[in-house]
Amino acid sequence: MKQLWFRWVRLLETVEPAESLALCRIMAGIGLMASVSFAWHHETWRLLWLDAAEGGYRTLAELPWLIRLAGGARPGVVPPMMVLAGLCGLALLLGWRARWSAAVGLVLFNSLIRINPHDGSAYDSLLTNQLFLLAWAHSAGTWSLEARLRHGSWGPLTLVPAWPRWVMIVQLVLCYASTGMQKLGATWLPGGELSAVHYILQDPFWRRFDLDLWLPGCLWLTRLATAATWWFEVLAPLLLVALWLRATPKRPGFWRALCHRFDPRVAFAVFGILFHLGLHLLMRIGPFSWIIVSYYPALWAGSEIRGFCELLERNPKRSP
Amino acid sequence: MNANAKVIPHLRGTLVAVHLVAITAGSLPVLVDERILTPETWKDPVALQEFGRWSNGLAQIGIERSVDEVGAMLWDVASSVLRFQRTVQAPFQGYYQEAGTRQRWRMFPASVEETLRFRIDVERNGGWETIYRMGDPERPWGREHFDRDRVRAALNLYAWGLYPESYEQLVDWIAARAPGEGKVRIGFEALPAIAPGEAGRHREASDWPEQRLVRERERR
Repeated sequence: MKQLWFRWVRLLETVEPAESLALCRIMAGIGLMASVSFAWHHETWRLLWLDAAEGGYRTLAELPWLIRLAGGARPGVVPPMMVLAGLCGLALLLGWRARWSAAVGLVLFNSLIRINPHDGSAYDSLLTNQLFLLAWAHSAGTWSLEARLRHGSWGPLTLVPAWPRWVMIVQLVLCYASTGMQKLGATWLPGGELSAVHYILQDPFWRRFDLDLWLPGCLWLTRLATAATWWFEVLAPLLLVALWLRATPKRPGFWRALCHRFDPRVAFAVFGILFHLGLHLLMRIGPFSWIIVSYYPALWAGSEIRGFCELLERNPKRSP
Repeated sequence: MNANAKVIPHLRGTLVAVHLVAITAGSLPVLVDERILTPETWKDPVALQEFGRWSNGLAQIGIERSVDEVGAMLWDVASSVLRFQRTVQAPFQGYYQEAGTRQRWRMFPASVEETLRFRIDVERNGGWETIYRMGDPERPWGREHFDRDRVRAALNLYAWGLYPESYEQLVDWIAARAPGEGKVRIGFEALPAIAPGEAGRHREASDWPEQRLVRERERR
């Protein structure tokens, strides 16, 4: 047990180039700005995040400590906090004081979204979880204003702890697996009529377009989408197994060899990005797709992303 | 090596391990959301429809269970799972709330054969005129609010009968702002969805035979 513990402690001391976490930071910064601006648009915050006495629709009894401390869900409190949260998103995008920006952005955004828990969406939690990890990560080691000021270069080689990236992968897998395992409606499960997507795309709450005329003609496609969604989400934990197989190349085994020959992360990311793109095109779910895809760069080590960028720079088409 | 350099790796190891345990515990799937695990929702037509599907599915693999039996079985399983989840998550509740590490990932757990859409009517010339209907560009009053994803998330909860007091407050908020001088009527239109075997068709306003959670308010 003691040996296992020391192995765990040593594992967490692993360092790698910062590119992967930098990409996550940039995407999370955009996600934070988007989330705040969506609530800012048409002053929706007035309806949702102000107390009934101040022009909102609800009597907000249980406020987060920061909102209480600042004086309550009032017009003099909520908009400045939204602006500050948006600026934290901008600072994350630029890579300026990234850990502090993530921490302050987290506290502000986490307070805002808890003013009225009824308006919450899964992307709020995805974003706060990512901000929490970025508050611990050295994500501004490269592709950042900090790197530029410290090293005189936008993209210096900086080694940073890898564990926040690993935890992001676990978080991503947990999100998919949990949502997949809760899709227990008979319209989702294999062996059933696989009509879940067919019905969801008729729901005026979430659909982007009125497809009532066309959906029955595309039944094969919605059935395929239902099955693909369910299997993708439920089997997501296999990604962790595949990553472990890839991380232990010296051991024998067919599956390990297969995971080295065909990188499962590529298949996962291609399917995932297409899936979320489709979701965003067909459904009105705010910045959910962007925020969940902002975890995807964590699938690759910083050294791999750096290597890929170097490969692009050495592209023969650009050589003299 | 100073004392800090010795302690920090172990502290980091402990904190990361606790975080992983917390987020895994928070992500444990539940059969039914705790907010809708109530005797009332178990009698809801939508729930009964789902039990019917399960009953049919079980019959296909040779297990005969009536709709009521399936409902009772699912109630027992859902309650047990929820109790277990609450116990496991209890030590981390403060951490989920304050550190922003909540793990509620219930997204479209079941689809329903009935769609609802939010609607606002105002009284004009002795009759009702619809000024807002979700997704209807010809009835756009207030769509800058009601079409936003956060507002739709709240409306979706209210449409399923959750947080009735907040729904009443929303109705009051709308009634105080809707144009005109007569009464205001607010509710959700309900219509069976187009089943997989049916032909596609546009569902017009006249198709909506049933309304839910209809509230009328005198203008303030």
